[in-house]
Amino acid sequence: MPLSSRSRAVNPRLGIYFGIFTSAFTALVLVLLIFEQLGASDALLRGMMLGGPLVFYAAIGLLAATREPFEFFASGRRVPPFFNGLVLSVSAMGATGLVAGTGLLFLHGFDGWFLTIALTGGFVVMGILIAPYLRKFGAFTVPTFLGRRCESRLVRLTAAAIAAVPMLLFIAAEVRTGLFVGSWLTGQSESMIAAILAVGVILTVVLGGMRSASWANSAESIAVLLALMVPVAMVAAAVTYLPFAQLSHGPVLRALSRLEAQQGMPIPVASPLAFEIAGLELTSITQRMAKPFGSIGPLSFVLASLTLMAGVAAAPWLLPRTGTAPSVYDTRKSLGWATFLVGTILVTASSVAVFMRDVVMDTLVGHSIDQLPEWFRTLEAAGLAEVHGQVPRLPISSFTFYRDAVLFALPIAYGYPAVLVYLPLAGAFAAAVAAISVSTLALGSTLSEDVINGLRWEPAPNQLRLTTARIAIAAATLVGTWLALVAPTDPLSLMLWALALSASGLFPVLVLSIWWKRLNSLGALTGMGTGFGVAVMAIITGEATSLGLHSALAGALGMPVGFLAAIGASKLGPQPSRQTLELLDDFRIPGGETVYDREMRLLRLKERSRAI
Amino acid sequence: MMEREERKPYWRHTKWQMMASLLPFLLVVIVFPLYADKLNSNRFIGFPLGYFLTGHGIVLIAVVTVASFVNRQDAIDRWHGGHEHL
Repeated sequence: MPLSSRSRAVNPRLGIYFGIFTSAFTALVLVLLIFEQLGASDALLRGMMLGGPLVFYAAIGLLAATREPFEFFASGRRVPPFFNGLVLSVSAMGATGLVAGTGLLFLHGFDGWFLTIALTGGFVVMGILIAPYLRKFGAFTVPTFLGRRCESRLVRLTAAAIAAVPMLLFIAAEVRTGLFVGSWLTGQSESMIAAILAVGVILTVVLGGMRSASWANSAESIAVLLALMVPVAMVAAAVTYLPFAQLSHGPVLRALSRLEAQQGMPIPVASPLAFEIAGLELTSITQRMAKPFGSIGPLSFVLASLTLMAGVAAAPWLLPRTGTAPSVYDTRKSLGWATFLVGTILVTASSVAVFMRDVVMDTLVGHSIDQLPEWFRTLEAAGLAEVHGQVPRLPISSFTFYRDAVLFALPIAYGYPAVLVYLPLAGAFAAAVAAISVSTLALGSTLSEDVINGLRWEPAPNQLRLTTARIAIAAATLVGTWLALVAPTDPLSLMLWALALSASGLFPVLVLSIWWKRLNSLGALTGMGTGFGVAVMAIITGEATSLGLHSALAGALGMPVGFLAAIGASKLGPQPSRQTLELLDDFRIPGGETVYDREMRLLRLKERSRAI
Repeated sequence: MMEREERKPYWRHTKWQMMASLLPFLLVVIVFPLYADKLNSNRFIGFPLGYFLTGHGIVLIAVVTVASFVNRQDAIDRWHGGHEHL
């Protein structure tokens, strides 16, 4: 049902609602801080920090329940650009990008920037090449768009199968990080946290679909921003006298570089194609903060940035979100907000890494083993850091750290109250919930729309359509959680594989389907299949042998092959039909009725006239 | 709604805008990290310049790229009469 007046398009009270949420979240943290000073039990603080916000998110999700497919799959196309960008940025990064990204910047210094470049640049590419046209087309899922564009059910099914793999990997990655963060926050077992996570996600998205996800994820994203910015601003105010850590930690970094030079830290030089990043084992700091290419070679740094960027741009779990903006112009604007917010968050993460290195240099390096401070003992007892060697003045190489713990170690190292340690943990948990709900929603709608009900272009009756989607979403959540529990893999690798697969399987065909008229169903099928197949092979070879490319660089092989295969096979196949060209002309220009909505309206009219 | 005969010039315009926004950005993403080591001896608001440009710089350039793209593309839409009336 197309909406014409702007007043119905965007709820004018959104700012008030989220203002209330922000104040409630702040109040919760302040009250818990007071409770802590009054001597409340630690279990209460931990439980409140996890449960309080989670109840809020679930309540928002349940209140936004809907029975209208247009609301369920596209949130009524009335999410304003800022909220769209907020949700996009947090769900693209997820808990894994936030937590592991900070860890990479801490352990590898400069080389950790590749993740920031990939995520920020991904939104630039998405906003310029893909998102506005997908919004004008208005399909609820990426495979629906590709199937309609190539006029082939086989393309729709293949695209659904290929898109499902990276989505499932991404869910598993986020569940893994969510488990780590949640069990640290509450001290419960992993299976308990997995149950909380799955129930939380299902409650948030099953009843209201995209509508629930829009508003619950907005609240989660606000919590993530607060939970990250507040402790970092406090540290920055203490160290640099300015609360803007992002721009003010330069002098700290220079002092750090001077200390590193004094210590005589080695300057390793990685070969051009090297890609050695920290995994789940405790890792020592081997390279200087600002010195590039010690563990990732220059060539693989650029390749990783570009291919992961393409992966973010074509991510099938993020693209349905662009369809919720009120207009094509608003879609472009929401990508602008997403770029800005994800960039800000990751630059803040880099300042956490610098402050943390500064603390390590200050209080650990050069001391003897029994002079080590209290905070390091705490981390050591939790198994998140270790020290080796018995020399009186310990060098930096004798300390090892757990990659994912760095973000939360900063408030511990500064001796802040426990609630300020639980705050970033709760923030990372919220990021995990947001990312999981976005990707299970996309996976569930892909399964129900393109596989189960995908044999006919006409949609199923409303009731059936929603029920299938709800069951598929719940199933996707459970399968993703189960996968994360039975196959405990490094979440960062899972996320990088997901991005590499979407870069090679979907990016070439998506870009060509918009920018190249000649693409036909043969080209789309060959392009997707070849790109995806090559990427899978590259990941398996990269994991099984130490020869050749690292598995995170699989997109560097898969993406060019995908482009070549799609172009070559299209040239061999027939010219696209007149209707396809007409459709292409329609979704390339902004303005007018959304293509998908119009087709659905016409189908409904036809059905009604047949009934009469 | 855009006139039919406007579609071709609109798309030509849009293609050029796409390249004008995307190619400089991709160039920056490739070039900045590769020259970071050489630039690190200079400094900017306290940061080693190469480090600053690769991290903060690329983020800033990304934001500016999208912002200018949104602005220019909207101007193109209006010029060809494809502006959305909401």
